[in-house]
Amino acid sequence: MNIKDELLKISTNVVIDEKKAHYKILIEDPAKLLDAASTLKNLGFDHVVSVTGVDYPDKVEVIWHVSSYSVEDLKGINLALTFSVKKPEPVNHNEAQGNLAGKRPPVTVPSLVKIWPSAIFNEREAFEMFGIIFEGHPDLRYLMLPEDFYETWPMRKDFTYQRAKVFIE
Amino acid sequence: MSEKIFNIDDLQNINVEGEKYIILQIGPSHPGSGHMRIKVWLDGDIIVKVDPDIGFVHRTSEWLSERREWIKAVPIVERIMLPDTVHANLAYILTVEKLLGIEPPPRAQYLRSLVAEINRITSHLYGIGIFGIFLGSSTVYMWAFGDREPFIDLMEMLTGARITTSYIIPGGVRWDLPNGFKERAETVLQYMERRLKDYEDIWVKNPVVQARTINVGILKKEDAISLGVVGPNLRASGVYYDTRKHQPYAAYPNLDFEIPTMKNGDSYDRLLIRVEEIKQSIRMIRQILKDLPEGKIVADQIYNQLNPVMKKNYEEKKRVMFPAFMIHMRPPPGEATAKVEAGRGEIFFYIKSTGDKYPYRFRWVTPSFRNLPFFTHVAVGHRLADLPTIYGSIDYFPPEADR
Repeated sequence: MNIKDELLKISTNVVIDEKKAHYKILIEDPAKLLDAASTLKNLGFDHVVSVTGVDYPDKVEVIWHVSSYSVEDLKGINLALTFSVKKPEPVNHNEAQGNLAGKRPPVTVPSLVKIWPSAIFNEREAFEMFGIIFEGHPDLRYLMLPEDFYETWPMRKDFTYQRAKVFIE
Repeated sequence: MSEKIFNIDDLQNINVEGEKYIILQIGPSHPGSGHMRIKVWLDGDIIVKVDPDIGFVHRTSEWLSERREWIKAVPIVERIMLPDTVHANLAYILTVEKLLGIEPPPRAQYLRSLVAEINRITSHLYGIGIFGIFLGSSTVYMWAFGDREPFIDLMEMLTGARITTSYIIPGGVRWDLPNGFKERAETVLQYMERRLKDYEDIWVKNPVVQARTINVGILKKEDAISLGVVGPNLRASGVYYDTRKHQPYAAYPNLDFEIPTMKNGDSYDRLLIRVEEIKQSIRMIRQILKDLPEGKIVADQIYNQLNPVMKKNYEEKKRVMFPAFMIHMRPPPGEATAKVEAGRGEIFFYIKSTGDKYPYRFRWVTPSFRNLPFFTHVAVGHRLADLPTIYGSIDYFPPEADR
């Protein structure tokens, strides 16, 4: 099986660096994401190692790193299934919604938990850290942040934390 | 017992509303090996649903590392994985080296494997000890923690620090092998081999231990694959996968070792496999000390940047001091991934560089985080009294999972 040909069938946008065991496949169309994931699973990529976002000024890139336990040829490959989604414009909240003022609203991508159950905790983490809403995730809650965490999306680059206000008189 | 194959829809179908079930909150104050809360729904004393609530020791390591110079991430990742520091250090440095394009010399590769295997033994002994106290055997807890000491002393002899060694740097390692290390290591290895027999007598072959662990917390091979479980827990379910074999790094391509696998995937197998891996690590340490090649312990790209005082220090004390390059390091733009087989399983790193002073995206996934499905899936259907057995057998470490 030539992995490069198989990946090119899924998307024309493929980056391969065999020396570093780094394989990347980029998907633009959200409708094709689930198909691409199913095809990869049928190839033998049976588990998700990590789900993460990368925050850019205009977009959020969602990466599912997948690998294989069952197919001998694929055990040495770290494949990044990458999907970019444009960020909506920041909402101008009024004073009453103080904490959310100027913050960027979340983005929405399809969840791949139905295909790869191993993504379940990883997608929850990407949701709380990057504000990526995974549509179809059965249990999308905060994982590590407190339930009443009031700031939005701490791993985004525009996140500013409030220092503790200490007054000494 | 959970006989059927895991299905993601089950999570939605479990209806735990109403007064039939008791909700039990275990934790968050240190239920076992760290701070986490396990929320358990019980029907009588049968577990119906488990919701592991993690994050009580979340230390924002990714956020901190994205706002610091590259080299300063080493102490951060080490302090997350405290019983397993060398592997966290090694995985991060391997990723940075891929970005920088530096290849360490053979002697440094062997020294990396050496300290990693010593660390793996201490990590497994830690896991065995914690498992002991979970089952109520304070003897094996004291034994295992006591037997970690000779190995930690070996690490101190080699690296200068007991736990947080920061031994591995881009391009090589910081210290060369000290005089008398080989003899000392051989003594410790022989001691450990003797002790492993004692462990088998009092712990592994103990009928009480067998009664409490055999057929408890079975994880089938198919489930282990689909849930993405890692490390000894994966191999206890019969999956032949080890990053040291399948994505080799350091000196592992040159070493002769076996990957033990088990069949049943129950808690007892997860205990046995740790004992087997200690034996393999002992075998590897002997090979490394026998075959250790001569030469530099740091790559030429780094060595050439040492100033005359540092070079003199390198020749006399066999110690690499940090050239200014280390703090001004700016890896070229690009992204890299690396995997390392730590004591508890596989560490994964994904780092994106934009050629800046700080990493643009610093992502890492630790083995304990990926072993979380044990709580949601494997514990369901067991009695509450079996939950400590399952928790203890997977060698779960909350600070590592929370990062």
